[in-house]
Amino acid sequence: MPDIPFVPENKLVAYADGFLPPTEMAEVEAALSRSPALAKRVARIKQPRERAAAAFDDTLTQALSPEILKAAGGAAAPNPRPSLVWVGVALAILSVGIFIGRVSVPSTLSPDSPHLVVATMRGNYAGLELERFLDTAETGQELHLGNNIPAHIILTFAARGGGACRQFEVGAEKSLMSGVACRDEGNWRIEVLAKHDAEADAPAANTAPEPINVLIDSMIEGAPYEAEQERAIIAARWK
Amino acid sequence: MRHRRSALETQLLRLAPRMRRFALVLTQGAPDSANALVAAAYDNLWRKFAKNNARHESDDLDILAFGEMVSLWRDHLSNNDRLEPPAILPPASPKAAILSLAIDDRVVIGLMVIERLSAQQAGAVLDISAQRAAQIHSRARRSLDIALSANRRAEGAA
Repeated sequence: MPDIPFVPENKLVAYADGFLPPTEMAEVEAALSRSPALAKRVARIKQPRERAAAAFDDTLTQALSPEILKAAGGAAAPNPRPSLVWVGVALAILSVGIFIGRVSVPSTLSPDSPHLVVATMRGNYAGLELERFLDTAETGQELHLGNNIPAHIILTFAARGGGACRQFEVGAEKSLMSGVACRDEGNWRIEVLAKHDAEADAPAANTAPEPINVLIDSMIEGAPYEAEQERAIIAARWK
Repeated sequence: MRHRRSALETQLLRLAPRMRRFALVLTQGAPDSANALVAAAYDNLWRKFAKNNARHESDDLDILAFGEMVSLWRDHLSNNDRLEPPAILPPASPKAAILSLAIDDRVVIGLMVIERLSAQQAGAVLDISAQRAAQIHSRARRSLDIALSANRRAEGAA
């Protein structure tokens, strides 16, 4: 007679919910690997739970209302003046065209990584997926590139000398990257792309690297676009 | 003139889609109420940050934000304010099953199933112990399973 492991129902439910302590989790996993019938029972428990967990995921990609975007901005204190050192760094970035600070391809972007940037003789431009994202995403909206990699628009602004630019983020946690792209003859030219410093203390690790902010300060014409302006320029296909 | 987004602003903005998703669970899918709830939660958070000289831990920003939303929504319900009608959803959908739950169960399902917070984090949002959060989760789970199977039966009958 085969040795069918017995696992009480409440333990299977806790396992399906991910609420078992690691040792008990390992015990259940061992039992599941020995009993296809048990594995089937867990799959039956998990299925409706997974459907429920994903039930509202469609709302994540919906555009945010202007009242939310305005409130998210709060009444933050004015930004400090950038130091001369950072201004120098920003100017260097502009002259080089692209800055990759401690960048390697983040692990979440590999091996199914979307081609974020395409290098050309004229400079670095957004790849197809990033281009589509920059064309259509609204500030605050969470969209995904490639293999479910989250991407957000942080800011949209008019650049000195004309055209629109967008600050964006791709990835999450230790693979988070920030960039700025500007509209250039129907394409998005990448002005800067930098990995966040995952080793730094929060909250600095969670916000755009300082050179990006300094670069934006040096490029921006007037105030960033409000939600309505941004929506209008997206609808007009950036013309 | 302020141009770039501050660190806190960027983090709060990144949280916005999740806050709106949770708000829709609280407001039974009513979109205007959900938007207003998220905006009100942001206002309160900014006020609190200003009072505490903007000191915060980025790790627990979601817990603070969800906690603010639960408090605001409970106040709203207890004030007998006029409520926006809940969203009309296909009766057999998982969304409808979740939104049919009682408010306490819905909150915990929203936090622990949809937002995937641990019992400890959900407890911190609701200002209760992790053990109590796990108990409510267990009860809410049973209610959700019943609602989901009722939906499946209705789907089968149709």
